[in-house]
Amino acid sequence: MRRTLAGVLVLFLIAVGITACGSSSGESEAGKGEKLTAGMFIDFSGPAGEQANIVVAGCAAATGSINAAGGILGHEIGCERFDAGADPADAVPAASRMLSGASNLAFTLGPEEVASATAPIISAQKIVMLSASGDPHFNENDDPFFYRIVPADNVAGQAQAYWAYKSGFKNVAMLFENGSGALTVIEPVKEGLEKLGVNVTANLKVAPDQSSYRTEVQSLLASHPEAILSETDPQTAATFFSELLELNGGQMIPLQGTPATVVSSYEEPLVRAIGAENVEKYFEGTTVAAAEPGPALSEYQKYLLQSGSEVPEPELYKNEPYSTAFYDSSVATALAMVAAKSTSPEKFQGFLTKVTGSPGQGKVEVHTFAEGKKALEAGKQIVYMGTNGPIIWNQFHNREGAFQALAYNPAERKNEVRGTITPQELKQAMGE
Amino acid sequence: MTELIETIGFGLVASAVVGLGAVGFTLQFSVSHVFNFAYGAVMTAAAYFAYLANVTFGLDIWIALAAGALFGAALTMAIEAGIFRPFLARRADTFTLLIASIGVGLVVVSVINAVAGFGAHSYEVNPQVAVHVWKFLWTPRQMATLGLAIVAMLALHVTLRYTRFGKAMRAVADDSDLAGNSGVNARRVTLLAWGISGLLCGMAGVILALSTVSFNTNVGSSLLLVAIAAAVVGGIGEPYGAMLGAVAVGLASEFFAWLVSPGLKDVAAFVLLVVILITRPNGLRSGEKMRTEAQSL
Repeated sequence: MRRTLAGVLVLFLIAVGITACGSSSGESEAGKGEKLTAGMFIDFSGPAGEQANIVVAGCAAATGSINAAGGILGHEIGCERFDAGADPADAVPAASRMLSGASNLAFTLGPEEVASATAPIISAQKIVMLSASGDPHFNENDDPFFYRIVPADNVAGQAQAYWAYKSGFKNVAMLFENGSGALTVIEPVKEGLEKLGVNVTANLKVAPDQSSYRTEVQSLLASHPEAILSETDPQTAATFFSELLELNGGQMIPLQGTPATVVSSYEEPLVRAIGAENVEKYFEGTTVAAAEPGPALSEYQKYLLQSGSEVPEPELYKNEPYSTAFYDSSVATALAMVAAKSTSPEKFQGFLTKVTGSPGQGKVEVHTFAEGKKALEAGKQIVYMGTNGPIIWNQFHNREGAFQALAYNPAERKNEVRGTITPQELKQAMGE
Repeated sequence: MTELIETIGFGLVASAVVGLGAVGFTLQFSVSHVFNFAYGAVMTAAAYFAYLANVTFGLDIWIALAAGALFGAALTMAIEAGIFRPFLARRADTFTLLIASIGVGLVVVSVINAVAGFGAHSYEVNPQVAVHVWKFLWTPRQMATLGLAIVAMLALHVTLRYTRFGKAMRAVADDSDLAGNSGVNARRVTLLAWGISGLLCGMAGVILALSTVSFNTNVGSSLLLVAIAAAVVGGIGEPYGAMLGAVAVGLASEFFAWLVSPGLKDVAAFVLLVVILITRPNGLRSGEKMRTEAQSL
């Protein structure tokens, strides 16, 4: 019995030792010449997996650009996939596996839908996270390792309300699904509309993926809205708006969506549901502003298109705002490592805000990793100007940024810009 | 008043879809006493088969519906013969059968995902505008759906009531061993009953996919629990009860959305289920009536 127990104890200690040796902790430096890992901790395998390549595109372009400039402090960096799934029950063990299995994990892209469950686990290992999660929990984030790389969902909701106001609508209906994603924007949209003096004629929260919404459509039509502000999943939208056409004599009502709706997985089913002409004429969505032509965007696109088999159909992501956001934040993180002269996230995370922010104050403006690395090695202070301008974090590590209103061109299967909302313009409209 | 009648009209259309699903589900249960959770996956498979017929082969949607229904029948019969019959022959308990059905459902959906992908699909049909039929507001396609459901229920009623096969099915539902001893080929009757159930299941899947306009591999599972609720409300194992249950559930859902909250629409079926089971534990029409009729053979 004693021998058995001793044997089990030895095996356990060996297992712990192996795990510890292989595990990633933000406190340790990468060994000389060892490759760093940018861990893509997102949903690869579920329905959201179709959007995963948005992140892959950003990561592949960033690592391509970084490695072409000689890497970070003599280390190459590569992207590695870690499937977080969509369910926190799966994501938590997946996070543990990533932390124990990845070697020299420098930072993660994600987590996204499962951020509130997994961010504390990753943060406990002092790994920097670059996330586009809309979870309102992070609106007042106090985790020093968590960075939200796009404006928060509540700000996106304000932008949607402001665009409706700017479009001249005085009476709008709100249509959102009863799911956690949409629920984070409902209150900001409603508050934004109230501040702007726009009347909400109906506020419907519908159960998703029902076989019909005719009763709900009739309620909405009875309120006589000039436009509908909406976020639902694609199937719900297709069912709802096709029935709206049926019950409204074939006439569509202007539809304004959120960032979640200006993606092809929403727009294409909408085209099939209400027709290309109606989508082109009546649908717009507000989203994070896309990148502007310039050296940063050129660098991103160059390495995106050189990504080979890593990114299927890279052309699709040339101007994708979330891909460029992941690219920019990855490059900024790499520059933070160079500035800190350390690959340990615990040491470099504080430098992320030092290599970004507003230009001026004697800082050299850089647009690529190569430029930034050269300036830092020459002893200069830098500010990285990303693909859509400076990266400005608020006190909660949430990025401030501009929004754009996009319309979908079904013939060319791409979004076109109808207008831009700057952060200053939005703050002023909201009285902030 | 107009809103009330329109809501009833919407509820009747919803009942038609739920009814096809619920009657098929309860038919399976009546002859085999299997709570088949793969039923939703068969609906999904039928919807995708109809998609193949309509979009890939360019067939009219109603022909594609028939193809989907026949595919549903064939798949259901294959599942009965290949999966459940061996379990039942070994006298597997209810829990084992339930787990097996969940497993079969997962496999079917996984295969569809692997072949067709996770993305959404839509049939190629022309958009329609709703017209007033008295005070109801229906599109021609919805009227056709109602008509199809009524014809299917009538056909089932005639089969159960006036054909030898229908009487044999009712006998097997009551007591398959006794029916076998009375000269009924219970195995063949069960297989054919599952075939009819699969036909209804396939029809429900295709009509549901047509109603939602855009569908993915979750389409069957979205209706499954509501169909089960309707079947249980009506009295599990009782096809006429399932028809009644479907009408109750369809109307309750639309009234819930109208009067209470659209966000709680899918809760309506289960609220009704709880209320009915508290007041009538065996459902609106219990299996007693069927057993009484079987005894009259």
